[in-house]
Amino acid sequence: MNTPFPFSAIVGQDNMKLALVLTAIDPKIGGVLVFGDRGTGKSTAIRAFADLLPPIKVVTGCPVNSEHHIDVPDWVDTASKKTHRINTPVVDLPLGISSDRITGALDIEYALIEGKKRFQTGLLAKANRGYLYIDEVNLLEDHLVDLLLDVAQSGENVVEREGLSVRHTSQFILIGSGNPEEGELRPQLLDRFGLSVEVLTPGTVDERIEVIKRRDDYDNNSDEYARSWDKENKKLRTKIQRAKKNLYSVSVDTNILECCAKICIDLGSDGLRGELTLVRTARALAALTGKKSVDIAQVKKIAPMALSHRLRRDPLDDAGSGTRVERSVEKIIG
Amino acid sequence: MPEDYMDISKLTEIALNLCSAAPQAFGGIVFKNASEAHMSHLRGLFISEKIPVTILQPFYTLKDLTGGIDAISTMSAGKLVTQSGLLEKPGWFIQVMGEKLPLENQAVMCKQMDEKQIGPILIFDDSRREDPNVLQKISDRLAFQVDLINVRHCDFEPSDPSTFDRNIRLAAITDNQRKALVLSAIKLGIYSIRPVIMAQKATQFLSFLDGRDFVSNRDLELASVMVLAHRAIIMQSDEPDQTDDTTDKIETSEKDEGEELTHDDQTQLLQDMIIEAVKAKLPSDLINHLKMQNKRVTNSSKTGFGHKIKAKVRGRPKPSTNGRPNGRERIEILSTLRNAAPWQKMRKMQQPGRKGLVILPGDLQIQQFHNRSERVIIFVVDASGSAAVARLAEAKGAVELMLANAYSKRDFVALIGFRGQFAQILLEPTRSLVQAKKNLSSFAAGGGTPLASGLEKALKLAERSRQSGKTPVMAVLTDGKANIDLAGNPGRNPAMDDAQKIAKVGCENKISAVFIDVGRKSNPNLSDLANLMNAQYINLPRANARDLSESLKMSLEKA
Repeated sequence: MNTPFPFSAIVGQDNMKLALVLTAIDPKIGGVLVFGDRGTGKSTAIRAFADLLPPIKVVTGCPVNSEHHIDVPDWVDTASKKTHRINTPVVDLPLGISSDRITGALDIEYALIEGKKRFQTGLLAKANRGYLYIDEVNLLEDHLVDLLLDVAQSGENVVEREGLSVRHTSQFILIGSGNPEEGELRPQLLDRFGLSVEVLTPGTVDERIEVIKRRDDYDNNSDEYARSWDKENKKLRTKIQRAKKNLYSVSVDTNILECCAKICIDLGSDGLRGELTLVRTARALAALTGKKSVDIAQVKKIAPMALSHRLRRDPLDDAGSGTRVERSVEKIIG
Repeated sequence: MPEDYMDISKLTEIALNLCSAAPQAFGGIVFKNASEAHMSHLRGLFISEKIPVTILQPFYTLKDLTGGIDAISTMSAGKLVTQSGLLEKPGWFIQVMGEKLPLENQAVMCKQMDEKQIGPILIFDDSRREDPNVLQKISDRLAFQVDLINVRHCDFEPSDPSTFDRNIRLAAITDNQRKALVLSAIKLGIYSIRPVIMAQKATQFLSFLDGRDFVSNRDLELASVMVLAHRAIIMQSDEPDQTDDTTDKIETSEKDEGEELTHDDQTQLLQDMIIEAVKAKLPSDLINHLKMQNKRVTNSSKTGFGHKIKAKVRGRPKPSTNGRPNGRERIEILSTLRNAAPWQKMRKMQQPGRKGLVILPGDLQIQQFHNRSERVIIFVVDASGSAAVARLAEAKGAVELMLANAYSKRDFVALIGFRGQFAQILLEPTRSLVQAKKNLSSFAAGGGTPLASGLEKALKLAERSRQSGKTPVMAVLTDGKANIDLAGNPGRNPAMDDAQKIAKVGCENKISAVFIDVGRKSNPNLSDLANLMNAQYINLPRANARDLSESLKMSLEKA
C-alpha cells in the first residue's frame, strides 16, 4: 500500500513498541511474538516499524544481503565489488506459501531454457540481516514451522534438493503475530521468540477516540500525515542508533545476573534461553534509556515480556503467565 | 424510527454504495440467509452494470487466491508461467458458501485487504444463528451485514451500486459525535476498534451521499444501525451483571471527566439515540439471544468443508518420490517439472520435431503425506446435582490438563455438559487452551441427570468430527444415576432405557469410548451401559484432576 502509518503515532501499546525497539538495538535478543485480539493494531505496528529501521550496507547484486564481499556465498555469480545501502529488510511470510519459496529452489525458468541448474533464492535469503514477519503465525502449517525453527536456530539455510546443494547464512529476527483464540502455538516455536507481548484493545475512552482521530487523519492524507510525524520518528531512530552504539559499554553486575537466574529458577522455565534473553533485553533497555549499567528496575520492567511465554503451562493455575512472572519477580527482588 | 431503517433493500443499496465509494474503508458485506433468488438478483446488478465480479469458492486453495506457478501452462509453454491470484483481479468479489470458508483463506483475504487495494467482498453466509461463527476473522473487516431471512426475493430489489470518482470530499464529524460513537460501541460490547472506525467513516460517507458537508444525527443513527447493530454482544442497560472487566474500567474513566457538563450531556444524548436505534433494529428474540450469548459456547475455528478436503489430501507433506500415479496418489507437478527441466535441452535435440516439454515417465514424482489422523477427545461431563460440584471442578481440571499437552499429541478437545433437562456443547473441538478456559469457567452444576441427551449430543459431535477426517474418542464422566429421558421428562427407568438405546447406536457406529464412574460406589448400571457401547469402564471414586487425566490418557491410548 502507500506510506505506512507512522510508528510514533501509534496510541498506547507501549509494550509492543518497546519490544520491537529493543530487538532493533540488540538483534541477539531474538524475535518478538505479538498476541492479541482482532483490531488492536498488531499488523499496523509491525508494518510501521519496518519504516523506522535504519538502513544497512549490502554488497550490490548479492541476493542474501551480505555486508562484506567475503561473506557472499560461492554460488552467487552476480555480486559486484561495490556496496550500497538498503532499508533493513522486513520480509512478509504469507500463509499458504510453499516451502520452495521460503528456502529457495531450482530456478525452473533458467533450467527449462538453458538446461542448466541454478539456485533461485527464497524468502530466507531476502530476510538475512533483517526481519521475517509472520502474520497469523499460529495458523502456519506445521512443516513450515519446523523449517523456520531449524533455520532460526542454526542461522543457516541449507538446501539439498533436485540435485542442488546450496547453503547461505540466514540470520533474521522473527516477528510473529496472531490471535490465541484461533489456535495455539507450539511450545518449541514459542521458546524461539525472545520476547512476547500481549496487546489489548485500548482501555480508556480518550485513548480510543485518539486512535480513531489519528487513523482518520492518516486515511485522509497518508503522505502528509506521515510527514507530520517525521520528526518524532527521526528522534526515535537516532535514539535506537545511539543505544546500539553504546550497547556493549553497558555493564551488567554479578548481582543482576544472579537475580535473573533466581527468577528463572523460581519460575521453572526450561533451558537457559530465559536468562540470556532477560539479561540481553535488560541491557538493551538500559542502553535505550542512556544508563551506564543495568539495574534492577530494568529487569523488573522487561521480565514479563522476556519470560511469560517460557513458563510451563499449568492449567490449574488461573493467573495469567504475565502475573506469574510479576509475582515471582516481586518475590525475588522484594 | 424512519421507515427505511427497516427496509432491507434500501439498506443493502446504501451498503453497496458505501462499499463502492470506499472499498478500503468498508471492506464489504456479509449476507446472511440469502436464497438463490437473492443471490441472482445481486449478481444481476453487477452484470447489468458491467462491473467485474470474481466468484470465490470456499475450497479454493491459498495458492488460487494469491497466485503462484501455473504448472499446466508452464509445461505446455516450456517456460515459467506464473498465475496471478484471484484476489488480484479488479472489481468486486463474491464469496459463496461463506459458512465453509476455512480460517486460512480468511487470513489471506484479510491480508490482501490490508495491503492491496482490492475491491469490496460480498460474502454469502448460510450458517444459522446457533452455529459456530466461522467467519469471525474476516467479518471484523467487513463493515455491513444484511440478514435476508424474512425477506421475500421479490421485495429485495436494491439498485446497482453507483460509481464514484476519486474526489470524494468527506463531511466533518464533531468531537461529540465521535465520542458518542466510541461510547455506544463500548456499551454494545464491541471492543474491537475497527468497527468504530468504520462506523465513523460510514457517517461521513452517508452525509456525502446526501450532498451535505456536515454529519447529521440521522447519519450517525443510520451508520450505527448498519455497522454496529449486528456486532452487539450485550445490552448493558438491561443486564448489568454481564459487564466484564474492560467495560468497568472504561466506565469509571468516563465518570472521571466531568469538566464540561453541557458537552458531556450532548454526547450522552447522542449516545442514547444511537443505542435506541440499534436496539430497535434488533429483533426482540435476538436481544434475548444476545443476553444468553455470553454464557454460550463460542465458536470453534475448526469447521468447514475446506478442512475436510485438506485433511484428506494434505497431512504433513513429505518429500515427493519417484513413481507412477495410480488412483490414490497424486502427481507432484512442480517437482516433476524440476526433475525434467535440466534435461530439456538434451531431449529436444534427440526429438527435434517435438514442441513443449519432454517429460519421461521416470520424471514423474508422487506426492507423499505423513498420514497422522487427528483425534478429538469428547468429554461428556455430568454436571447434575448427584455428581457433586467438586466432581465438576476436577473434570474441568482434567480437560485443561489434557489440552495442555494436546498439541504434541495433535488432539482436539471438546466438552459436552449435561444437567437439568438437556445436554449442551460447551466447547466445540479446539486446541486452544485460552478458549477452553473461557468457556469452562462459566459452566455451573446442579439439577437432573439427562445422561441419554448427553450421550446423544456426543455421538452427533463424534459423527461430525469423523466427517472432517478426525478420529473421535468419547470420555464420559458420570455417576450413572440417569433420571431424565431424551424428551426431557423425569423418571429413572425411561431415562436409563433411552441411555441404553443411544449406547447401542454408539456401538453400531463403532465410536470408542471410556466411561468413568465418578460416584462414591461403583454403579452396575453404568458398567452395563459401557458394555452395551463396547466401551471401557473405570471406577475412580476419589480421583483429583491429575489422576483423572492420567488414567484417562492411559485408557484413551487403549480405546
